[in-house]
Amino acid sequence: MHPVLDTSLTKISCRRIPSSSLIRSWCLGSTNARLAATYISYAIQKNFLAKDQQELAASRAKLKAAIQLFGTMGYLRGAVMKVGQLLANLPQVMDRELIEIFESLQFEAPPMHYSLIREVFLDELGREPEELFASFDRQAFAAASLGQVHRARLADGTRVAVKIQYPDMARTIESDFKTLGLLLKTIRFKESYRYLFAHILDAKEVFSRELDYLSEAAYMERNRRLFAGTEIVVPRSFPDYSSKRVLTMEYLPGKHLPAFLGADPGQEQRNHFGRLISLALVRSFFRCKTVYADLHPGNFIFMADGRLGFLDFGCFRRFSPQRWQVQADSEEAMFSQDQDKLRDFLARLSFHDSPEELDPQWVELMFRQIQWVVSPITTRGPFDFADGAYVAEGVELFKESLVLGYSRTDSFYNWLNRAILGHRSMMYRLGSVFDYSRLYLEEMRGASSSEGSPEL
Amino acid sequence: MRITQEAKQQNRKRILQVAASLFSEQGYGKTTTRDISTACKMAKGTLFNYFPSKETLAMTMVAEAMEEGRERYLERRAGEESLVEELFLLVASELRALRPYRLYIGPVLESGMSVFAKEACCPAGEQARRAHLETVAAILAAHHYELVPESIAVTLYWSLYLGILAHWSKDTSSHQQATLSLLDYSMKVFAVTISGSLPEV
Ligand SMILES: Nc1ncnc2c1ncn2[C@@H]1O[C@H](COP(=O)(O)OP(=O)(O)OP(=O)(O)O)[C@@H](O)[C@H]1O
Repeated sequence: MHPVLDTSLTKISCRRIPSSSLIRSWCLGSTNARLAATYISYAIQKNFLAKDQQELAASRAKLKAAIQLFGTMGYLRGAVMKVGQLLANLPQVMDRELIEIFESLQFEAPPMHYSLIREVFLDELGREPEELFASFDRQAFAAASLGQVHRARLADGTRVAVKIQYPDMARTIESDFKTLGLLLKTIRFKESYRYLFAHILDAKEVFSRELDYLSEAAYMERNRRLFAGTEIVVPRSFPDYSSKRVLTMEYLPGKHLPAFLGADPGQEQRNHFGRLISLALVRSFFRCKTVYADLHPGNFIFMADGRLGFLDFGCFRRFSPQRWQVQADSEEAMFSQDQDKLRDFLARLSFHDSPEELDPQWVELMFRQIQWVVSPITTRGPFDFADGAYVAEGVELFKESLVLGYSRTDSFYNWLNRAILGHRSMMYRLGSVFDYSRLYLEEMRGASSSEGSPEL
Repeated sequence: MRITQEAKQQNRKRILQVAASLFSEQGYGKTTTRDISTACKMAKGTLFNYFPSKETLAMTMVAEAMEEGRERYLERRAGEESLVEELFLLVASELRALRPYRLYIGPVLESGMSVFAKEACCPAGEQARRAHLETVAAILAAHHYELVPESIAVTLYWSLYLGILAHWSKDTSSHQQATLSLLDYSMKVFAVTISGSLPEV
């Protein structure tokens, strides 16, 4: 363990009192949690901050404050863990050991005991779980970002997954974002601070939308129709057993990515699932004009019969028609390498009146980033996502943009970037090789030819 | 005129019902004993024979709901709950039974269960307190703890309990879900304190 952090962690473990009354295991001092906090800060420090000893010393105090605040968060702590999980997909950024920690955290069931669940059920559905279902597992089998998931059976024997939200999450999110604001104040920012602030507000809005499971169910149904007839399965939802804070859906049996990889699958299978995950994302991008704001391997289930379970429709960001048009134009410019058009796009993306006003260093980085993003599409034939050089370049670009710290972009760009990074890292872990270009372009054309057809 | 025990019980029940609806219609503070006796078509003196004051009447109402909640708790208990879970189940069941009185439970408890008065200001309040603590003691005993009367643990528990009720009465979140979080947290705090270690959840 990192010696400096080790001592500071011991001293500060949760001295600030959490502002929300939702206390999960962390503040009660779970070792896993403290370990994770150490590792997160260690990873940040190792990769992005420490250039020399002086800088290290300067960042130490901030880091200390950061960890302290981090421990008081009820919800965003999960979000921070997700950033860790994202990094965990990129072995160049993080050691194997850290990856395992993050994976273990992802499936750690948080403590919402059965007595509490019964009260939520009485409030939300007017009945106790055991009255409503033929059987109901009192122990959760998976953690969700705002609650936990239990297995149950309906009266007709259907196996279901029941996602239950913690009480009072809206206020928890609210107070977490306040804490985050506080945290950011301690960090020195460039003049683009106000843009960063806009991103945070945007994130809050997106995450707050996750609070309503009924709208998640509606969007899930829409996606079921979208993927009907493919090998992608979106669970059915059961409205009679669902409410704003309880979501009952068809249970999809299968494995998550780590277990799938653990069974040492053949190349054919790796390519197959890589293709399906890509189809899931690219199709919802073009047809629903949405980006997943919370893309991670836990959203996919590798089913034994070769189908892919696609979960989690709570956290997405939808393009406005205007923004979609900008996106569509820019994609064309990217494929045709039209530099002037791309410069125009970058100006719009960063709220500048004309490309002349842009920072050349940023433009140069963006051009390289765009190049990286489109290369699997412009490369005809199978693309090797497992290629170490490709991933290394992506990681490098990611680090560079963090160092540059340029936040003057519209929020949509952030979500898109995150989703792309999430996709590429999953493809890398899967070691998939397939014709991504064809898949992408077919979906793009398919979407424009179905334009004007009734809303899916 | 002498009336039977049965008729007495019925009168008492009717007074409580009428008072409850008056409290929720026109507010606890605005309702007088005269309003209640008038609505019951009863002389004010007769009402006094049953309840010496509006405060006692309301406290009796609340105490009965608490008792009903404890009965529900006994029915709902599976017997396999952890300490935190079981305490949570007890208080949550009580809160559910207390729902009709939520908006004016504050002033009622203030007069009936004041934390400042050493001697309970009304017997109904004192009795409700004792009955609740007896159930808590039984739960603790089942989990191998002894709750000694007048001990620090009792004071701590009772402070937490009244705090939860106070928070709940003003909770504006839907279904008072914020109180559920507070209740869970409070019971964990209590369990940690008495055991000196982390509770099993
Ligand atoms: N229908 C289902 N069938 C099988 N497992 C499921 C199902 N729904 C959820 N799960 C399990 O529960 C976990 C969390 O569910 P889900 O992704 O819907 O929650 P979430 O709140 O969106 O969490 P996160 O933001 O972490 O994705 C999944 O990773 C999966 O392991």
